[in-house]
Amino acid sequence: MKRVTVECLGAFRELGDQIQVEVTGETFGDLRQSLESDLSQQGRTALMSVLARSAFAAGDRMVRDSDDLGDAPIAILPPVAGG
Amino acid sequence: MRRLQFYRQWLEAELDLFERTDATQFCCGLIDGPCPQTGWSDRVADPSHGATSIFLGVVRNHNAGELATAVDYDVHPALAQKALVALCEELTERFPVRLWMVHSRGLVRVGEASVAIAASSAHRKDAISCVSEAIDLLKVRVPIWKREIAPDESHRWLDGHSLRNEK
Repeated sequence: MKRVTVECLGAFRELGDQIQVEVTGETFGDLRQSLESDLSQQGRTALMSVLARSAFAAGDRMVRDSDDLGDAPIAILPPVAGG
Repeated sequence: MRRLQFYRQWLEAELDLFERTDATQFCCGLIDGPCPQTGWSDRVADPSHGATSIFLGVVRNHNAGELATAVDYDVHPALAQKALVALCEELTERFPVRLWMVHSRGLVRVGEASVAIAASSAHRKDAISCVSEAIDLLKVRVPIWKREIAPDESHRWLDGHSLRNEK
């Protein structure tokens, strides 16, 4: 079990500026599953559906679910809507 | 000439960008609060260019049937700047333009601009096409999010384009 700090952006700000997630596993896919489980337990169904369409970043790099979590600061990026 | 240089410096000083990238053909960045709505044609001025196209994205007082008073823009600064630079590089490779692109972070009220894109080119089609594509691509590539504020101060995050590239 690994504790990961995730910076919250966009709709995820509803959870705070950052959250702690206990992750079983080493990849961003594992982080997604753990976060989904946490949101489910909190009854946050709207954010669960946003999570399914969200990406993760490590530092200034976009990552895939198969990538290792690594040590760079992690951010969750919901669907973007600039302009 | 000296007067023109002074004027340009004043215009640059007016833009207090907290992220900024200057290149030969473009400049892009992020600004806290609304974008200035003037000065853009001077920023892309070039004596060999006969056309200037400017797009200002302005916050309106309604969206999807709901009234709005402002939009609060959330940004991932490092990723957003990286995406803006990549976008400017792509566009200036495709179009022979001088290009400026600036986006807001934080609160932007109705009537204020949240995004400014300006391009100049020798002939009109390149500048117009470049600006049109720039705003289309910015909306789906740059990590920026909108929180719309209603008159009763309730708010909602607007949906957008997913950056997730796998399922």
